Amino acid sequence: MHAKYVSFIASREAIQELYAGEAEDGIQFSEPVAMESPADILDAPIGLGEVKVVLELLTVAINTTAAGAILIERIFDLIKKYQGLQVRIQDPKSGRELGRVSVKTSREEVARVLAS
Amino acid sequence: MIQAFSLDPSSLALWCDQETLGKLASKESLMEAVSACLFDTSDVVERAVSLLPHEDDKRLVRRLAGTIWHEQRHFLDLMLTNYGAFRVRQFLTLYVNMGHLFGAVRSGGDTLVCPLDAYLDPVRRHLLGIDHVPEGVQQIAKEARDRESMVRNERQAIPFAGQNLAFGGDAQLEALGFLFQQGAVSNIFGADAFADLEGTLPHVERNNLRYRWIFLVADALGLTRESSEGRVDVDAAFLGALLIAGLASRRWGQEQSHTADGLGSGYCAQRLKGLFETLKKMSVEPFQDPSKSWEQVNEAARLTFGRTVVEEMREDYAREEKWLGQVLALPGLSENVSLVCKDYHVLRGRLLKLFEEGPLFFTDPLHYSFGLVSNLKPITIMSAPGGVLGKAPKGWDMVSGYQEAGSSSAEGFWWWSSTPSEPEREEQTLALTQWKAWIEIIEWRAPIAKLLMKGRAHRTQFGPELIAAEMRLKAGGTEIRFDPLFAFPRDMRVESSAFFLLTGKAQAVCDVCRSNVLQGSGWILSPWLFRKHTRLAQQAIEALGGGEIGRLKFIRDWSVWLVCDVCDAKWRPLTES
Repeated sequence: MHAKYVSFIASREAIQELYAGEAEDGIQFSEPVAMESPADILDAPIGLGEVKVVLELLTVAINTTAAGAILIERIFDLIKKYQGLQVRIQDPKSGRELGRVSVKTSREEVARVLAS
Repeated sequence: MIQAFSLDPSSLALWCDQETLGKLASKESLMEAVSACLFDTSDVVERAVSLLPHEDDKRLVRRLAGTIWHEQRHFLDLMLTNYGAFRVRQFLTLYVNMGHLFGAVRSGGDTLVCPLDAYLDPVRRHLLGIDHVPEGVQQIAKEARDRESMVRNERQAIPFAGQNLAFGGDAQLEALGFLFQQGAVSNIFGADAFADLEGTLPHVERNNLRYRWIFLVADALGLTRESSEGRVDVDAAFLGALLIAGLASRRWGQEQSHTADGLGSGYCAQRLKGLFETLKKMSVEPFQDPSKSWEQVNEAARLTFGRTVVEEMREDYAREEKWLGQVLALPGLSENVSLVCKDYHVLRGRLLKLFEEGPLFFTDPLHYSFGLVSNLKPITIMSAPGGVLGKAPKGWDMVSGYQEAGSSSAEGFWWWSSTPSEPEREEQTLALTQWKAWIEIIEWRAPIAKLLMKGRAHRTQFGPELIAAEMRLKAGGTEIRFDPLFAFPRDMRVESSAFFLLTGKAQAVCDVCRSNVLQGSGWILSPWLFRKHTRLAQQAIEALGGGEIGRLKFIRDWSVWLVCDVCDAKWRPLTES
């Protein structure tokens, strides 16, 4: 199997946990990257100051089918652990969004997205 | 996506979006009052507001004045506090390194990849086809990433009062901005006007934890009390002192001091929590003389981390002085970069001196409102994302604009941002003085720094500045390409609720078909969405009249589009490729 690359965007806590998890054969992680820009702060509260979840991005190289299955399990563990968590899946080569994982998503759907 | 005012930490400039302002305050008398907030003293503002005939207009200008004072507080804290100064140096360091970076990329015949941190990661390097990292780029990229990591660590949530709160450096800067905005509105316009304003805020604003988390801290320290009118008052002077102490983070690789619970002196969130624990033990007297509050907080810092707040700030400034000496000695450093680094450091020194002489002007909203806020004068940039045809208004200089090559059409020349021609300053004015050098920074070095940090994926940004910076780099021989994940901002299509919340309107007009868009329907489209999808851009050009005029209008227009559900449904498939 050629390595399959996908990027996950989720809350900082979830991404850090995914990244810090036990190293599995067939999975290679990038460093997590903050989605928030250092230039983003300091706008005035005039109607739009909603609390934003701090998001991070993690790109993963999946080298084997088994590794893909383990990754899916890890994502669902996070979904179970963090209430309301949503994980956005993007294609790092094009930036295109491939799908979103939430408590309503099935493992099969995620597997399909990762295989696409 | 829509802001009326924002303080850009990359240049310390206050940006005012004249189109958003125009939607809020279209009458000339209102704009004059807003202008007074930007350029005059608080008594002039107060007088301008009192002359407005309608109560709604008064309320709006008070609200806008508050947001300007909020931004001016950021201008202050980005230089006064250790954490703020660290955030500014994040950008200054990139300006210093830019010449070297571009030289390294060009000499190897390489393309510059943005964001820079892609160079440091084997997975991203592989994906982007980076087979070698130009010499010198690695070090600059690493420095930028390390600084960003420090900011990221500040966003770590810490358990507090039964919640997980991320009250790191940026959150503390926002809390200071908010507290002193509220204080200035209340002190300058009066408590009744303030209560009236608070009462008209939408529910989401009144309960906005982004700014109001500090009230949880106040509550836990016993710094609140109920007034006879049933209002809950907070001891803002104590909180002001506490936040400045929290922001006195120990940087520059200094040895850190830790509490028994492991809270360190280097990070603002940990400092605040550590100070909180100490103050709990010291027993805090709420609503005492503000100078006593300051002394108590300053002493709490010494007990918690071994240095008072003032000592921590002095040490930070001394180290910055050494850093500046090294920077200025660098061969080939651009004159303007050298000027802005010095200018910033000198103004910071002035602020620290004032702080030591009279801390209450910085910690107590009452002293601040009448003794300091009117003197804070960041460089003001008026932006017009939709572009304004012709030259900048009299008395203003263009910062960014466009002239279509070979076009004699009136539609072929416009400005996007402008700044007042160099203003006169009084002795007490607290402003950056190397105006021309800062304008160069605003024009192109700051946007390039943003590209280097996060590509084009910024929440708050001004499209034309990034595009102009890219074009300038290219003209200078530096080719640029983006990590696709950072090639465009996120969320380029969002629900329209923000628009209605901001304007207070119940309906608006669709920018495409001119039909009514009712609150609760419609979408806001980012101008970047049109730049990303060619077929959508074609539709936009048609909607703007088509032909050459439509094309020029499209190039000019970097404003957001409000579209109805019907137009959105028609256009959405064009964005799905």
